Amino acid sequence: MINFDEVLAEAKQRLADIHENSKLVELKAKYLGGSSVVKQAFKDLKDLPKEEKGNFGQRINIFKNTLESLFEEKEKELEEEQIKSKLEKEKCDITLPGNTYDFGAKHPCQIIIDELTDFFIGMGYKVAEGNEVDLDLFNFELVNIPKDHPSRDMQDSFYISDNLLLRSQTSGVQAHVMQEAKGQGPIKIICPGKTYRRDDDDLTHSHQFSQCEGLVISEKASMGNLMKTLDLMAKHIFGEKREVRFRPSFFPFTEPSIEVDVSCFECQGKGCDICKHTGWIEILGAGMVHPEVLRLNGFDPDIYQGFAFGIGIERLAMLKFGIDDIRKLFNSDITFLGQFRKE
Amino acid sequence: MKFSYKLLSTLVDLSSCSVDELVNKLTFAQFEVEGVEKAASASSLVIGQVTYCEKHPDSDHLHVLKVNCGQEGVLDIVCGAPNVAKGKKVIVALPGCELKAIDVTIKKGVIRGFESNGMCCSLSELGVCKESQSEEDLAGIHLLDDDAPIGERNVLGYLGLDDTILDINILPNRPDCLSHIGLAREISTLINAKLLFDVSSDLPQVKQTIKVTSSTPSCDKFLLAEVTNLSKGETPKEVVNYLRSLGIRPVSKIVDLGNYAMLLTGQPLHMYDLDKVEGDLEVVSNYQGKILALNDKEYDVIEGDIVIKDKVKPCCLGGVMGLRSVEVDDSTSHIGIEAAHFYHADIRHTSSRLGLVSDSSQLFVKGTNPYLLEENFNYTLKLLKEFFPEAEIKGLSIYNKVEDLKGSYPFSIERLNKRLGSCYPQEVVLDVLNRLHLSFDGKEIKKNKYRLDLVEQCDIDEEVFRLSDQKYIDISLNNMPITSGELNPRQLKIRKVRETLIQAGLNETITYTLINDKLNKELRVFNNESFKVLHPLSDDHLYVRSDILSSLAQAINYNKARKHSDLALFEISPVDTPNGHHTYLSIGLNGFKSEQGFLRTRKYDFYDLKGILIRVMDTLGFNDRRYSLVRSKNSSFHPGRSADILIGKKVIGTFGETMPKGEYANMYLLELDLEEVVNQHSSKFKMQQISLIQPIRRDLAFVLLDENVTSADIIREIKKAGGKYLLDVQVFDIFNKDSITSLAFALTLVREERSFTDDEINSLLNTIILNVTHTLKVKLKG
Repeated sequence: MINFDEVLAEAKQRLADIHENSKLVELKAKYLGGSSVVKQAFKDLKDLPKEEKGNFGQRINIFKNTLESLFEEKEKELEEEQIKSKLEKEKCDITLPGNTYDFGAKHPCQIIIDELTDFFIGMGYKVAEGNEVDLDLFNFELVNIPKDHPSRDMQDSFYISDNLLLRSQTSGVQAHVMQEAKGQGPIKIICPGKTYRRDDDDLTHSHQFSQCEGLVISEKASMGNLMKTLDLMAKHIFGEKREVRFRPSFFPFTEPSIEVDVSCFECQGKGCDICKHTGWIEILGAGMVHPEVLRLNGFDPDIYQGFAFGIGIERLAMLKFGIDDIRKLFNSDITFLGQFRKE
Repeated sequence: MKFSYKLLSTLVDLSSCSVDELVNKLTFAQFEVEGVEKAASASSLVIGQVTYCEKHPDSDHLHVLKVNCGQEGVLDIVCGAPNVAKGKKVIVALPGCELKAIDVTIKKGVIRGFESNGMCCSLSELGVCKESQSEEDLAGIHLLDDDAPIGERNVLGYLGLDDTILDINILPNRPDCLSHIGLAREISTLINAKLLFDVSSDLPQVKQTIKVTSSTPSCDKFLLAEVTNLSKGETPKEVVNYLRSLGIRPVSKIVDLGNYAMLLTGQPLHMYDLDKVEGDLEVVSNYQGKILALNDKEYDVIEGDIVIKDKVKPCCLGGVMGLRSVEVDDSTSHIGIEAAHFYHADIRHTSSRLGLVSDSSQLFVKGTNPYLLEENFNYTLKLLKEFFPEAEIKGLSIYNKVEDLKGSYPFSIERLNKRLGSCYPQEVVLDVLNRLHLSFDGKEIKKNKYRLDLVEQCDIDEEVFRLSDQKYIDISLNNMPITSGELNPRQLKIRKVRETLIQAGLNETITYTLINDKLNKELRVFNNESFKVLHPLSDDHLYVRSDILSSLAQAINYNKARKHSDLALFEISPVDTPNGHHTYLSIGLNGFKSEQGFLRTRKYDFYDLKGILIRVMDTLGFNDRRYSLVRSKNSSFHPGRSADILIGKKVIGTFGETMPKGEYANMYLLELDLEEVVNQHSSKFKMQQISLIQPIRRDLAFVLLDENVTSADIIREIKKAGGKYLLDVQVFDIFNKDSITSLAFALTLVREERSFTDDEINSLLNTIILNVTHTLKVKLKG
């Protein structure tokens, strides 16, 4: 006869030593399979006298169930172990780089142009465009810079022929826009674009640079409107805390003319190298459109008035991002360009 | 231009206006003060006399001195200057003296065994600019006049160097302020201060000795004073000091007079040696020939240049430079002083054509005032008397075709306030007009000879704006026209392209428009001509580019040279050519594309560029049915790995791998004319119904019997035969074995009404296979 307790103890013992699934299957066959102790016990049961069968039968079933649950438990245990070791094996170094879905960088000048464009669109302006190669007529004459005007000295230009040149300022776009409007206001545009002057390239000069022209013509657009517009613009670009001041100046196409300074954002107006120890940084020129410019371009200065401004894009970019050499904006150095990914 | 605060204060009452206040006033009145500097700077100086001077025993250049400094005592000083000598009067910097120019504080010390309790100073050490010093001063310490007071502590005052020099940017509309008198007038208006000089416009009554005429409208006024009895001697000391402070080197009495008068009046003068002038003088603009100028250079004069000539020879290149023929020198005692008005544009032409710029020409080019010529000439004659007390004005010749300034222009305060958006009260405006000495009758303002720039209402608007408080201006957006702001569709699309490329990992760059001949010839996509610049800065800026690709390739090489060769760059730029205006997009890829940092990378290839192109076109709402790609014949590109982009038959761009040789080898470049795309409508989009029937996928593979058959050919034929049942077809595999290529396609088939039966599917696939294999040189892969 089988000693159930002995067999169970032995089974427990052997189960405890098993760490592989295949061994477990083998052992399970041995205890619960066709030629196992359990089968043998059932065979033995048949040969027992009737009165003993009930009692023994019960004991076999308990024995079988106990064995089965022992194996079930072990199976579960092994399964968990396996998952655990699988997870352990599949562990990755979470500090390695992620897959690359890099975005590129916008050019710093374009960042400024987009910021200005968005600001002025919000103020109701449209964006005008003009050709970079333009007639002398538009670049100079129609914005009140006749031949031999002293301020033509300020802008020696790249001429292509006697009357064709690479524009030296975006102001010529004013003339184009006014002529297209055929004497009818209102006009409210900006025009960002490249401009060219015969300057030798150095830290602060570049023969190629860009400007953002602005022009508003209506019956009532005033100096006060211009000052408010530029005050808002300067704060939009350089931050709400900036103070803005207006200095009278001179441009041939505007009168009165102003230059706009913002309080230095580096030293908060105390004086530093960036603001040349004045506490102020000049950012742009502007003014009321000269009546002669209105007249030359088909607007009646007795009815219409307006203002214009010209913003130096590179200067703004250099100030805002602390760029020390204007040439860096044009030499395509990836270590420079790539930095603006953060903007 | 540089101005002496001290000289200004002799012309206008600055007693209640400090330097700082003046700078502030000027800054907000259209005068940008670019520099404020002391003429000299030193804190503790004294005048001393060298009473003992011996060579230092251990040095070949040092001297050991005893210097009598009056109340400061007799100081032992070791001095290195070669010009120091016993008996000389010198400037001594006492211990504690700060010399900012050389960043030194003087201390008591021992130099090679000898005590030194101070320093003898040169002008440079005091901060006097080098240009204005004599060679003797530059070579050693400054030696004072013999009558210099020993023990005097206010040495800078004694030297006239107790001055502040203002560097002011005079804007082109105010040539009247290019002189001390002119700026003094402006300051008197600004701060309401009294002018301290008075000069008449009535010329002295002297007979004409030499006849002067002008036969050119370019000179409408010409004054010439004949002066004799010029004594030798020194230029007045205070004038020397002013000249020095303003960076002008004193030369001789007569030259200094000319320079000083010009500083004061802004009117250029010219001096003739009248003993060398033969006959009368005439101003002409039709002289042609060679001249020898005072700078010893020869120039070719052509018609249009203003020349002053006597009966036989040219004497002066009018407004620009004098000539050797009548040069004033040390022996001259009979001079002619000329003051004239020349038309600014003519001087400008001559000066720029000859590359000859002088102090005179610079003033003439900016415009001198013919109405003030008499006043300025009188002022000059006054100075002449100060320089040469016994000089005699023997004759005065006048040529004058300038009529008195007449006329007036309308002005209204209401209009002023409308333009400025302001509420200037009448009294404020009238005060400004008053300060400007303008006469206003309520309707019109009379022209004023001191302010030729004021000719219409807007000029007065500007004067009121700059001369009175900005508080009267309503700084607001009231009255601004209300309009809608937006980018037009074209601008929006270009912005989207930029954003898309940045999202795809490309970096934006901006390169130069002006390029050299080499770049203008290389990597051409569109064969437009290029504009050529007439006077380029250098050969590198010769052409206005008509393609932008070569600039980008150059940018890649610039980075490669700096060990950054994995690059993805793009540029969007307007391009102007004789054939029209374009907006080009160019893209450059080079090296490796990162897939996981540096861990996993792979080389950029043709399909990266193609993928970016498709993304750009998709962004623009331009689906692949609207453009096509064909192999490019562009010789800059690899013939097997490049394509032209076409809309219809028009090439709108080219992309691919560059030729595998030369400096641009193995880059992936693209150039596309964006204008051709952004100006067209975006493809219309409508949602498609999604079939409820489950689609079926079947794969087909074909072996290419002709290597020119492309995947697009096969897809086209599959689509033809598949008709409405073919939902989609994609290449999913390419295998190459023994130089035979097979392509495998995944077909997605669906029928709206009900599912396919097996027979239906097989028959559909057979139709497709038959069509493909009959039309193209391919066979079904078995």
